[in-house]
Amino acid sequence: MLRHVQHHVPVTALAYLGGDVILSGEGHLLRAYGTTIQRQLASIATFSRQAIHGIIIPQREAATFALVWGGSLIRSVKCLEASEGRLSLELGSLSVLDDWILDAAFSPGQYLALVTAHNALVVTHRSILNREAHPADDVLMPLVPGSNCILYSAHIQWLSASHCLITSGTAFGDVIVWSATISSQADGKLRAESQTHYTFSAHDGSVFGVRTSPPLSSSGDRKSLLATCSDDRSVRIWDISDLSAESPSMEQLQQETGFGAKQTVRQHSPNRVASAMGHTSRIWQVRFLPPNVSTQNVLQIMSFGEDASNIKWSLLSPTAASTVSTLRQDGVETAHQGKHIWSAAVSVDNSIATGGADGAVALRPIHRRQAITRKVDDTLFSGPSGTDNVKSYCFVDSKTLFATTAEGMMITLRIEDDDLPRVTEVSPPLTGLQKYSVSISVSGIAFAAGTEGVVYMYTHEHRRVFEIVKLGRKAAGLFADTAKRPNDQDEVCLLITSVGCTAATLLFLAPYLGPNIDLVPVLQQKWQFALPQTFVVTSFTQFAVEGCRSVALGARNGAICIFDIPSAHTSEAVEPSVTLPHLCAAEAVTSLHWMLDEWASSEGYLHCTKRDSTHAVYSLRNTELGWVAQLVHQLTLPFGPNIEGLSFRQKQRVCIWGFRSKHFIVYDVTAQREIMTVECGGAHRFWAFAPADEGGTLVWTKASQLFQQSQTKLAYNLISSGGHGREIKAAAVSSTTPQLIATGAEDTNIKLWSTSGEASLLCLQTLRKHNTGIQHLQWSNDGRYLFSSGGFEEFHVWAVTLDVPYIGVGVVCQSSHPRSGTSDLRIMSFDIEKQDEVEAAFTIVMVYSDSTLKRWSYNCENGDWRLLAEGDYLTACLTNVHTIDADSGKLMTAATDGNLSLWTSDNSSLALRWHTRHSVHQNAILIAITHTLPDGSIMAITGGDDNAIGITRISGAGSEPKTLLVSRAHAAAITGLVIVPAGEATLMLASAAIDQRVKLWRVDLDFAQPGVHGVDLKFLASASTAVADVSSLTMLRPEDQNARLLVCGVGMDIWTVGI
Amino acid sequence: MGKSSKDKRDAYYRLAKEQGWRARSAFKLLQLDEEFNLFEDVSRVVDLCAAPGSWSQVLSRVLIQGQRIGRAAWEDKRYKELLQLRQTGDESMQDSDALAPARTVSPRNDVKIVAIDLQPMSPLEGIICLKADITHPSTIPLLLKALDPDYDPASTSIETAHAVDLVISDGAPDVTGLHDLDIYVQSQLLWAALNLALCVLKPGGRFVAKIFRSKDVDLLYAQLKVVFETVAVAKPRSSRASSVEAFVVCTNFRPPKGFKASLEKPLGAGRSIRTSQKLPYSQTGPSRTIREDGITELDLGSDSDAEDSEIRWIAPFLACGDLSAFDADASHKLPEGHVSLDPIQPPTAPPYRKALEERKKMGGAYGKTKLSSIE
Ligand SMILES: C[S@@+](CC[C@H](N)C(=O)[O-])C[C@H]1O[C@@H](n2cnc3c(N)ncnc32)[C@H](O)[C@@H]1O
Repeated sequence: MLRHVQHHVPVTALAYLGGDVILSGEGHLLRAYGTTIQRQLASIATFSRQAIHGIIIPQREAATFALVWGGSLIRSVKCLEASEGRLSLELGSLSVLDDWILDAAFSPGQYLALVTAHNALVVTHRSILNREAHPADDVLMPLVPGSNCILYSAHIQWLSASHCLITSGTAFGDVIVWSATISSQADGKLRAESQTHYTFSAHDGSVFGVRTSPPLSSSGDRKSLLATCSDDRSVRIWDISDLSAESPSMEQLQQETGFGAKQTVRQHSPNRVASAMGHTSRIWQVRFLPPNVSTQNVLQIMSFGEDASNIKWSLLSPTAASTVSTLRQDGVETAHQGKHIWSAAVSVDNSIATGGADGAVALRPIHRRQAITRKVDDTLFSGPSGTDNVKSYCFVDSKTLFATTAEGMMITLRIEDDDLPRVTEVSPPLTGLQKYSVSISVSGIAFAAGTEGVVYMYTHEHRRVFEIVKLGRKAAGLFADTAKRPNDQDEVCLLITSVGCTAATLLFLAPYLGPNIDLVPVLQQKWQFALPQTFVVTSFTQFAVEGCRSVALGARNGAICIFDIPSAHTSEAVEPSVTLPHLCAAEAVTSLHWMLDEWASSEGYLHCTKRDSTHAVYSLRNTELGWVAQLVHQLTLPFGPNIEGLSFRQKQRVCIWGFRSKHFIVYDVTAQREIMTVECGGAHRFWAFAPADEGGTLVWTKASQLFQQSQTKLAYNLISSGGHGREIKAAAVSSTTPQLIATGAEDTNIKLWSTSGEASLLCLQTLRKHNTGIQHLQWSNDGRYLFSSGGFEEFHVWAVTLDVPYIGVGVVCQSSHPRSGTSDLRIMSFDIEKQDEVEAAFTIVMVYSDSTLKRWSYNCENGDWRLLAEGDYLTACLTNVHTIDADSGKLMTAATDGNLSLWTSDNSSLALRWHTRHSVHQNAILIAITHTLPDGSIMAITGGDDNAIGITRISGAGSEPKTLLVSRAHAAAITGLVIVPAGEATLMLASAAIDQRVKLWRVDLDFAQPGVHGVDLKFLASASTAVADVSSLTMLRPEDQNARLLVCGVGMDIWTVGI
Repeated sequence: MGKSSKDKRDAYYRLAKEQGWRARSAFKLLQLDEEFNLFEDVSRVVDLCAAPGSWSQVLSRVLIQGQRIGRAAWEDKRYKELLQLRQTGDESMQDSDALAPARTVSPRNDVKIVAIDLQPMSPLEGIICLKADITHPSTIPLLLKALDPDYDPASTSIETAHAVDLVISDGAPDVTGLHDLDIYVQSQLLWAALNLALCVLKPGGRFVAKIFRSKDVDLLYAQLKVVFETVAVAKPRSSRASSVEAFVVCTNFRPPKGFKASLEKPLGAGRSIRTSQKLPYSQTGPSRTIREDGITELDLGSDSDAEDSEIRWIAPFLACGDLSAFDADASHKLPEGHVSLDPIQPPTAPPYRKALEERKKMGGAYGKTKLSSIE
């Protein structure tokens, strides 16, 4: 009855199937992705409930099958190449071991070896994988029995067709290196002879990752190395070349000393070659990287951590300066959200993949050419004397920088990827540009102005400079934009602000067929704009709506003004037509961009970036009454506060750039990821950026010196990204079309998602404002508002607009409750009701962790918050609240003491009082939902920490609530309940719990009978979800008549309910 | 205010400091005792995974010093006040202490308490503290020797002539965040504790251990049910509702015939107590009963979910600690004039402390890691 559709959960295993396909373990699903097309090729449920923990591909059979394991189960999966980049996966036989599997490896010959969490070695003939069926109780028994000490990590490496090396890391910091020689006996049974080589204390905490190097050829005496990583935040390298070394086994040592290897004599330890720290928290894995010419065969390793980042290290041999080998950190990369890289794989053709708790797979070449920062020496343009330097600059095309120098020279610098720029002088020194100058560019044309107010224009096509206007005052700022004229020729608009002048000058320049047959823009029109007081222009754009031309100016204090250009020329200064409403901080508007709505020509969208970390979009409509502006989108970006610019890339992608502490960041808003990071020293400097598809070129000034760095390729590609970095705590689904799913997580973010059918969940927006994990989310009935609560009394109201071009869904945090951040109380839950009287006002009841509740009124029009009533429960934390009757203000609450309570308020006072307290569960009620029965009574369905589902019928006044309690409904706390629409007389109920089960129940109702006599519950179906720590269960809009369930927790999971 | 999502210091944290407990866990054991009368007729106890030692403190105060620690220790006085305010004239409100069963208050004879942990533990008078790994077989002879000084480690016997009445274990690994792995490691600790209990527990003895109530916990319950007459899962009020933590309380130890605890083949890794394929409970159909409190309880029976061959069983749940107990999930206003005390026992240094210190020396950032303090 429950059919799995898809899920988005942590990626716990990865393996390359040849170069173009990567296999990934996501819950119990094995998925195949094309590495170049970055799309899913196939997906198959490998186990019924067990998650996949490892995947290996035998090297011989050119990528035709994979061995997958999870827990104590192994399964072979055939990977068949189907037509045109499609792959089909077919399940092979299932086998079971008697313990948890930590690693597996195919020998070059006939064997498959597996090592367990108790250091037992299981070796079988590979042929068992081809068996058709497998008796369930036939357990693969160890060939070398294990110890009783629990391991956190192990690695098997075959040294020959019959000899394998096993390295094991324990929970207590010890590492054991041992080997086994396998032989076949006459009766076909396998025999193993094992030998322990090293037993030593390697770390101060659990050893989470061990890896032995492939045989080393070029490193002198060192034939093989061991890399380990741990709880203690260090990565260590050990020399295990000497495998003739013999050590007593862990057992023997422990038997001798009574406890652990800590007391072991040093002689059982290999030489420690190097140790280094880099991650900010625990390190889960290490890998040796294949040697490469570009690294001069220096041995490299990579570590993967809880901090969601991976670090590349080079093992440097001893030098004159240092007598020991050292690990040099070559780069940190954080491709995943939140916490944890759980899996990693290295391909034969030098690429490396990581899988995160965020459900994303990141792919990158191992030996990517590192982007290098080049210093552009002043001597390049000021001759050997080197006295001149660059004052201001801008890009005239993606590779050419136009610059003015201190001596008043105009030059261009052609940026080369692998070399210093080529400098061309375009104008000898001009006195007007000496010491001070500003410049701006649009594609192919640059402008410069200085103290005398003379504006020069440089056209790159002709490499010529023209003087275009003399303003007589020192230029304060230049801003430029281009406009498409009806005759399809580009017109250039230049806005000039002058020092000590309250008007800005706008020039229109259009290409003009000059006497020398060059198409050079010449001045056509000139306008003056009257700037409001304290309006310091920081950004500019021009646009035309239905033939009328307008200009938008952004100011340093955050204001934005629209000026309409009069149809007839006037020498008078034009006054602003409208000043846009703005929210948030009075920080500079750094860029403005106009996007016309293709469907409604009288309407358009004005995008702006601000120095308050946000990107905002206004919708602007030109009506008979003038401009009608509405803020439809404003979200905080994951960097800033200095957000500086924006570009629209192909396929409706928005890219935004700015700074985060010492770095320049380019962020793809559509893909929700960083695409470029340059360490440039921070925001307070002169810089220019030319965006490109997968990066761009940044030029910046640091200590009066010019630097450049370019990126032409993304550092990594992401598949199925967008997930939360931590567990989801709340989810809510909108009633709109398309349907939006809102999820709120422990990572303090709220995300909006869309989904349809089997298509993967697509993250549309990330709402960053909460400083604590999200507690509850609820949509207004019309889907226009989303409400969210968290700790510290945080409560926000979000206005959501569908179909905003380029950004999809527009979101604005319209209001935060005035008490947000004022205490350490958590708003555990809340319920909203639209008020009838007022157009857009809501009544919101909130329940708090200190056993109190408050009813507020919020008016969307004026942002007004008013306390309507408040009440005190007892001492238990309230967990849920429902409005039973909006008119009379009746409420129902649930609490951690297992009680449901009914509340009333009398209109005369501000007090809310509970009058009925009804014990349902033994311990906390974690979820409560309500359903109104045809006779007007209310059915409250509750899920408890006590594994029970309660069905409580609340009839009219005077009668006590009656409960039917289904004990042992789940094996663990029930956190999700939802009513599934079914037939008339019956009701279907779905429940989800932290036992990772989703269950379906039938509720039979004979409401003519009193209390719960006529209520019965029948179990219908159960399924196991890959989502751990389930926190919510919600209904999605039915598809093909089938109800769909969404389970959230550590990941998201979708099921259909067949009725 | 920084980014954080949980207030770590709840009422129990404060109470622990005020009452001199080394950890707030003390209240979990006290509340379990209140419900299950764990210490009744008990004088010989093994406390596994005992550091920093608050459970041992409870044992010491109750068994050695003969103290009676009632619910007054964790009662939120406001609860009754508030309730009384509401229900004036309602006789149903009685003093809960008057209802509490009278308990022996004298020190007991022949008390023997052995505490084991990986981490060193500050000594407690009258308690033998051992530093050992409970998952390791070499710990069994250590424990036997501690229980019975005459025990001859050379003998292969792993059964003690001086059996104990109660084995408690509060062991938990450092969780990684990889749920499957954490559940597995926790279950291994539970097996290790049970394995030790099988060696030292006298028939009829009790066993209490921490368990993660999550995926496949019903497999563990089913196994425990084989060796104990009753198995319940309990959640003390002092344990947060939001955590997966709970405690299995098993009473009346009755090892199946022919069952012998084994050093070489301990329980856990591969060896289960499945002596026969019989279910550990009798198969029942759905039952519908009306309880005293008026709630109609529906038990759907055992066969509601027979989708795989593994034997699963859901232990009955019992919340413990009266409703008047402080709520571990609630935020509390501190009483007027309250002074915060420092923890009496510094937390054991986590392995990364050294890393942090080294980082600090190098002038590096702390990163996201904070030194944790007492739980
Ligand atoms: C939650 S603490 C116990 C607190 C204790 N009951 C008290 O009241 O103070 C868990 C303890 O389990 C211990 N532990 C974890 N694994 C262990 C093992 N394999 N053997 C012994 N102790 C272990 C840890 O060292 C830690 O001190």
